[in-house]
Amino acid sequence: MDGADTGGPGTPAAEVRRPATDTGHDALRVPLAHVDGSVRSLLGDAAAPPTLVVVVERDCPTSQGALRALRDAGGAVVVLSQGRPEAARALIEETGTADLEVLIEVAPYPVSAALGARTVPTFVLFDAGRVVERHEGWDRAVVAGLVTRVGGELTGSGGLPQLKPGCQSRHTLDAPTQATLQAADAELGDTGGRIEDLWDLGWHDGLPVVPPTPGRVRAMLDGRDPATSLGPIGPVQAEVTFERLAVCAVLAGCDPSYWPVVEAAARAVMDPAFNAHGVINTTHFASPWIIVNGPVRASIGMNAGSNVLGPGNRANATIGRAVRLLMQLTGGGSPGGLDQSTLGGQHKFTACLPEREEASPWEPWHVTLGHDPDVSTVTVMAGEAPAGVNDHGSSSAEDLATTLALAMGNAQVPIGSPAFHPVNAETLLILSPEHATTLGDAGWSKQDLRGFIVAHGQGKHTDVNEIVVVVAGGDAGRFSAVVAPWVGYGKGSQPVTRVIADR
Amino acid sequence: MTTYLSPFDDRTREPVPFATRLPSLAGQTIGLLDISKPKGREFLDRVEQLLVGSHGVGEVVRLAKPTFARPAPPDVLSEAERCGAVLVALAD
Repeated sequence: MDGADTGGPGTPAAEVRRPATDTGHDALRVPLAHVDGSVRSLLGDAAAPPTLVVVVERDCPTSQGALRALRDAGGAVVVLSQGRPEAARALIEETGTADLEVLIEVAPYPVSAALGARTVPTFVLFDAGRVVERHEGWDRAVVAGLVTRVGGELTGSGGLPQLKPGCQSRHTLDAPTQATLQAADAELGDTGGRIEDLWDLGWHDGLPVVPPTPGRVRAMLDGRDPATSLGPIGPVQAEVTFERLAVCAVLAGCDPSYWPVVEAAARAVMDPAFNAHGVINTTHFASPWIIVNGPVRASIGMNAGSNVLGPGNRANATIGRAVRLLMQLTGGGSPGGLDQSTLGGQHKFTACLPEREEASPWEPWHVTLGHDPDVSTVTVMAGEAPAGVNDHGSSSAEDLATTLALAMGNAQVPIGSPAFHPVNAETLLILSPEHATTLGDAGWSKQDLRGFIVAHGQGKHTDVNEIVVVVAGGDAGRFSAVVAPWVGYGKGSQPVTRVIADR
Repeated sequence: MTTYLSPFDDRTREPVPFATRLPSLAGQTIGLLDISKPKGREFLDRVEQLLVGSHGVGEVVRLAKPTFARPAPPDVLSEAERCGAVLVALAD
């Protein structure tokens, strides 16, 4: 191979080497995702036939041409596409390579680095699970020789000349753009950055994020020590520092004034009783619901009224999103990766609501738990997407409570299902002001309602402590909502309430 | 070049390789972890029969998590460490 190499521009013969030291490199055993979501690693099977791995990148013309040339070549060829899955799918579409096996690698591209792919395309020949030859850039004669070694025949050119240099590999581009606050230059107090960079880094939930520049993260922390540790989170047991939490809050779009709520919510989610590990991994819909009580609701401008669960309020939307990004990024719960939820749900972008204490006939939830009304708290609960309870017909408290008890009983496995069993889990009832007023005007207490739901839920709930009731929503409309739980107390997750610091 | 601060604990982003595969099951100690999903135990009963009867496994160690929804407790993990490989019965 060395002797056959003529060396293209930027790829002198000396660059084609037999990297014996790469053999068995741990990074090459890393599971990689296919575009269809299944996984494999490049190494590990000593009996594997010779395979040609081609590292490519969608925006690189040489990579595109190489794939066009390989499209009809046959043989054991595996493509490793740098960047997000959307880019890989576009590359396959544009080059007509749907029949090739395509793997994806996202930042920080450890496999590309381990393969020594400083440019793309890079061609790496594996034999018996070992790297035996490598070539960077396009040299048709060299690539034709490699394709022959894996049982194919290079007939096309893909529109490329005989020789064409490659493009810079992403792992060499992205690495310098990341830093820690302590390490970042004091001059880098900028608030700029490019949203496109965050797409490329994969630091997002599918919606645009705010670039976490040192300037923004500093503003979020407002003098707090970035090294302060909150402990580990998630299946990967990542250490959550103030800095990392602040990065998530910036990405989510939080105003720095939300920090005390974000910090308290993060601490609550990280409480072992909440079990973020299980909530992240489960195939269920579960995600943290964050209920905010006390004076902080007004001081940061949360919306407890119309559309309380919907769009339109920055604090509601971004506090929940910051916690989700903490779980997804820092905590390792990437959707389709360690987050294996079958269907997910829109509540997994954000689910945070303040109780509308002023419209409730009863004491607010944190006071029910024994806190002073002047204290602010967050309560986190693992739950599904909200299910609506529409009752415009009941005029008596008892009729309305019967509707609510049935709706609460139908949470998760419905009443009457062959799989019926008690939920043994705390279940959230978000009661609209009109419904709450009907009950309150008839002299019902919150405890009366909770007891009625247990008594009339046809066995679905066995303990009044399972019934979490908050009042929220607009003045008009006899609509409430039930948030069905995940696996409940003892076995799965239980609600955690934490006091929000004044600052 | 713009600098971004990272949300990641870099120690958790080190590549985690697949475990080295056993050359053979013969004579090996194999753990079977029941995560306490319905029918997991019955499924593993059959797997145990096959491992011992058809593959010459030396010893089968039956392990169980108290709940599928939480990580395995330390005593289960330490018991698993003496196995050459562990099979996990995941679904219900």
